Amino acid sequence: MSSAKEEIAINKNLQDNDEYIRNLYKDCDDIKIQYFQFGKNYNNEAIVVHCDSLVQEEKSNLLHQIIKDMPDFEAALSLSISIDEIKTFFENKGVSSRPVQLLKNYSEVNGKIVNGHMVIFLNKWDLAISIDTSSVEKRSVAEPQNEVVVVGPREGTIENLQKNLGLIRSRLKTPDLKFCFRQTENKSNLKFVYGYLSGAVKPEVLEEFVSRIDRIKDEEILETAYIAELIEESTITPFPQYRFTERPDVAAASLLEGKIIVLVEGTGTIVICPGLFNEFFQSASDYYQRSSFSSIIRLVRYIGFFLSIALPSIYIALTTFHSELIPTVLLIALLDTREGIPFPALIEALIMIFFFELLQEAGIRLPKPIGSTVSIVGALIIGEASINAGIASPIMVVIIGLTGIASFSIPYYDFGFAARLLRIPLMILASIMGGFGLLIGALLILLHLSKLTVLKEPYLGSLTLKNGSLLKDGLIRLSYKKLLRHKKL
Amino acid sequence: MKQLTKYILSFSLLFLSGCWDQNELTEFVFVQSLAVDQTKDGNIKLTTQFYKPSPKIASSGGGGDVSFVNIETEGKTMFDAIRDITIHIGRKAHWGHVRFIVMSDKVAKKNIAQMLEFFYRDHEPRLLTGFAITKGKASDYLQTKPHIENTISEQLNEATKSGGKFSGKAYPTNLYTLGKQIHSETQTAYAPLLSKDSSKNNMIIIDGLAIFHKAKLKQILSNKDTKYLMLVMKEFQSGIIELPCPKSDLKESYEVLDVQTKTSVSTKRDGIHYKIEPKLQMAIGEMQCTTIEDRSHMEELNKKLEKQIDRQIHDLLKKSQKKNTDIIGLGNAIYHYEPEEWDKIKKEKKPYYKTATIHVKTKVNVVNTGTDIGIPFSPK
Repeated sequence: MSSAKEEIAINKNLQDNDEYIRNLYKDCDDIKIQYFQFGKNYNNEAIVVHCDSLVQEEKSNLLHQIIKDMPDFEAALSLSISIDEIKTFFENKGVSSRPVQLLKNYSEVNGKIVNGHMVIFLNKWDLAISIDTSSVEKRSVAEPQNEVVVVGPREGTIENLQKNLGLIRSRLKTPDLKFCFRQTENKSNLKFVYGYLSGAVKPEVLEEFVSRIDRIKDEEILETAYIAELIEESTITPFPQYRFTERPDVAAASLLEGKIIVLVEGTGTIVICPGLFNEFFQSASDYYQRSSFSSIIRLVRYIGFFLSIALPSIYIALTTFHSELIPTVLLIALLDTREGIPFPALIEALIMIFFFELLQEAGIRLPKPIGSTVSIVGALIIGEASINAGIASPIMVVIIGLTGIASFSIPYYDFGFAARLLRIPLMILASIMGGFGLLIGALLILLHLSKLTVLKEPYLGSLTLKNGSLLKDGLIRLSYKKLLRHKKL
Repeated sequence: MKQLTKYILSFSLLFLSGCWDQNELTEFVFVQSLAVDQTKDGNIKLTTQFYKPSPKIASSGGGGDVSFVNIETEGKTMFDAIRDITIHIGRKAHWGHVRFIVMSDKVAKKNIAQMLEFFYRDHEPRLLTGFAITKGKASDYLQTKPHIENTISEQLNEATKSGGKFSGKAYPTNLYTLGKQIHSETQTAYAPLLSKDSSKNNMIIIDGLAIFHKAKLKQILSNKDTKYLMLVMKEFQSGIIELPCPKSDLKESYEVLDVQTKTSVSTKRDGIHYKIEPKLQMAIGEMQCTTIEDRSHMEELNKKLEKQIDRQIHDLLKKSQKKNTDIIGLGNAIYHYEPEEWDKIKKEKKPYYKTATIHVKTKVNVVNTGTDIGIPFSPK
């Protein structure tokens, strides 16, 4: 149905229109086409086309209603209305109870019908009337499951674009907040919106963003993650360059920081771009708790990230290359646990990491009641049994357990993927070259990070001490008295 | 070309370290302690104690309750004896975690520095390894089972350290302090002396202080004397001072809370004068015959304690002056304050210690009486 490109104008003959529409929506049983006759001697004809699955709440006959609406005619007289009178009314933009649009060609007609509009064709008129009647079942606004805060708003986005925009607009009541609609031009024909706060956003970042978003018009987009991946600079890096959120308050706060947000119809996920390194360590709750506590928790997250990347490799490097660096009493404890394990430390660690990832994946896939069983079986039985069976040492279970837990301390789940991916090469480096290899790995990661850019912004840019942001809302969060005074919008 | 050399150079860095240095923990056997003895024909007999891991895994069988293995090797030199270990045990010995070295007094009388050469040169052993002299065969000391610690070496290390910290009766020697002292101007070095109490289930105790001169064992001090020597050497941290009661064999004890010792050297026409001024803050530990009711009694007690400490130090130093062994490191002090004088002494080989006049002036301040009663607890 590439009617979008054809631009076939609507015919004056109602019969031809009817035929064309029926042909277009052949085998689409949810498109309803109704035929009416009205007016004097029932000689006025009309077809009403709508998509049944998208118009669920509309019960009244809209054709009747718009005829009734025309003020020149009393309801009782509406039976004697003629097509010409209707034409004049709408062409002069007469006031009716619902917003009405006039359509000229079939690509417009199709666009309206699949978006839940009701389209009315009248005979002897080469225009069609379209009325927005779209109403789709949607869930109510609820707290997002993976961004829970103790204190703060409990609203989360839903799968309805308008509602989501409303949630954000209600937080930033300023004409500076711009929302620009775009639509893909292919099968999915999905609407998506990008928003920014003019004045806060850097013009060069916005320009770069718009030039990239304009390039993806022909793609099939079903989720915001599609957009994020299509416009990112480096797809090979394990580090995410965009933040995802389901919280309108987070989206509003990021708009104030000069970020651009993208929303897609049919999904509640909001993309915030550009996402810089230390922003992934900031959680919404940081801003709703006392600043001293937030600062400490942030440090814990940074340490957690470091541990989740490097802990297994540090253990491997220490035990296989630098055993003299381990305190003697700890070494004795290690010796006791390591004795009798047939695998080298690297293999042992890889086995345990594989176990861990397996458990995690199984836990996510399974329905909730069984999911908790998996974690219990995994943690207790497999962990305990693998120690007893001599596959892994207790200290390794501790290390891998700690590593896994540490990667969950990062508020943005997908940033933990970076740690999970980088862990393995670091472990291999550590087992080949010890502490030296660990340093090589760390340097390579650092080089990669400093080379990475997001919408031409340096990824580590927020970590510089240049404007002091690192010590204001980076590693720590200062109190609002000090923090907000320097932020001038 | 320049670019290429850059890459080659940075690539060659990768070969600095590599798989060939890699060893799993289970490929090593960790040396815990060493005992150095001498056989009748003059060879070195080395007893090496290894940590024997006792796996806590059910399937691999119990390791038994003994957590160490002792291996005895003999050799003409230390390194020779060390290399023989591999013949006895299948694993590579790791010297990075040696906690303690014991040496029999017999060996110590010859030359400890020669024996310890390996430990100062090789890259694996650490300088913070503890060191002590034993009465009798050193290897016997490694057969003892530890009381609480995992290994006997750990126990010995802790005993010498905390003994020095809390009782003032031990000097925590390690290879670093020993090396420093052997190469000091006076060349006097100290190490704790261990002995086995055969009446008490062969328990190892610290039984005094061995004093070396030119790396040879010269003199052994009793525990009581060690305490006062530590006071003079500014190494005293905490301990008990006893005070005998007049006209009875009861004794009172006073705890030393804090010591600061000032020393100074001056050369006068009649020779070298060495001034020792320990300043002690003390607390009453046990009271038997003293009564304190007002300020004057307190002053009296201070005076009594000062006199007691003065006398003990005097006695100790007089004995050593008679033997002309510089146990207090006077030579180092002279070298510090009067380097020219020291040069002269060294050249002329003067018996500077014997002729030195030593002044001891202790200052005691009892700051804490414990329970707030001025009379002994036991009723008269």
